Amino acid sequence: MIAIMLCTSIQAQIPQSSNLVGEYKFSGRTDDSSGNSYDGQTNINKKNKENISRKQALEKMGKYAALTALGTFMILNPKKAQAQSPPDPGDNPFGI
Amino acid sequence: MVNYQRPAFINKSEGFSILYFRASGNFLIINGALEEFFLDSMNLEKIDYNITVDNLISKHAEFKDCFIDPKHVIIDNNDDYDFSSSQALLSSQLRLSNQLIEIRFDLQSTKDIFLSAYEHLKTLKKFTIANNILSIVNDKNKLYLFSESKILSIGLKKEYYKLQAQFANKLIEYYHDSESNQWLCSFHACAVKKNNKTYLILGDSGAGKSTLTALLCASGYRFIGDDLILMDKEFNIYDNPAAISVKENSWNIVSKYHKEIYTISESNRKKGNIKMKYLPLHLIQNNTPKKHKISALIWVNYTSKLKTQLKPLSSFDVCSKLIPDTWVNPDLNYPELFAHWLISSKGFQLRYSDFSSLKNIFDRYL
Repeated sequence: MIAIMLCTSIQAQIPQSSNLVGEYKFSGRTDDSSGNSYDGQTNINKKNKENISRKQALEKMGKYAALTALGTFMILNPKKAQAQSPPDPGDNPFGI
Repeated sequence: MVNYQRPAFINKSEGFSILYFRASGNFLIINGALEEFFLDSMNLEKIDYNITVDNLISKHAEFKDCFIDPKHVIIDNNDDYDFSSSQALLSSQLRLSNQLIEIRFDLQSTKDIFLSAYEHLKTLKKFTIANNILSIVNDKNKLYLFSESKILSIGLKKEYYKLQAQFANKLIEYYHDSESNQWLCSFHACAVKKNNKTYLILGDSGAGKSTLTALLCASGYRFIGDDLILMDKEFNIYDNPAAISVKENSWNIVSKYHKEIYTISESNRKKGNIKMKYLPLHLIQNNTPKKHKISALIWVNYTSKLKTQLKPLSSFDVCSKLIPDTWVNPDLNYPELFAHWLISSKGFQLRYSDFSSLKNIFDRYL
């Protein structure tokens, strides 16, 4: 299962220079190198949420991945509209 | 990667948790590792959550149903329909507690379907000014419910029982003088009360809910409603002014306790080939409109020749039996309120083979 999930690729869209709003080179600086002056600010206290890899995430979630088959679950779909008793078989008052 | 919606809430009970997904409108009951995961899920990073749900769906494809918006539009109120009062010339006038209500129809057959359970509320004298006017008209494959000239609901003719519920809602609101109440949920059930204890009687179609309710109401129980019971966000259920429907095959047994059944005419409304009579229990019991708090939910099942038996149900069973048969208002925090009420509700399974043993159990143990 894990192998299947790791093989799943994420197809990213490659940006075109014509529709580029800002460009950041991940060089440790936050200047916009596209020339559009959308310079960023560094926030050293900000937690880097993108740092986790899929592999790490799977390892972290391993306890659930291994145990999910053992849990009991029931998906319950309530009625989507209020209704009185539906007609009995053969009861078709509008003839439709 | 798919961005999966997190549960709107998780309500932990003894041995399991109940969750709700707003997009799909589905509840999920879980225990074990799944419960552990979803209890943690509110604090998980997005990527962790999404990967684990992906993994879950790959093992149990049905989980996908929790995250998908089913786009079920049952009643589309945006339909444009030009209503003229001259279309609905068949009129009946009802008194619902303090309110005088005029109901208009365009066809006699529609009137029979919608009004049979309310015939006992017809006024003896015609009034000239109604507090409210409701109209039900046909157009091709649809039915329209109007208040004055404003559309309240639209339904397909083949699903007329859904529009019947909307119509019943309005009459219950008029009966209780509570305009456009925001209902928490509606039950497909009957309800009775005795010694300040209110019972919701549930069961499959044909389980004998209405017959049992009629019999209990001849034995000291107060009638609350038949077929459709509405509950508000304070967990009160409301008297439903409709008469109880009694099918032809129950006339004999019901007549032993309610002699009135002999004098009531057979209704124009038949269920297939089955003849019906409507027993106006609120009128017979001289009831005034009241609200009630449910003490217990009782699933009844008639089983001939087997000993009558009352079995308490676990909270898990109560949730799994009630939710699929109930409409829960998806707005605001109503699903959460409903789940909160549900996990603290007591439920019983009652198998019975004769009325006297059943009544004995009701009186002694409930």
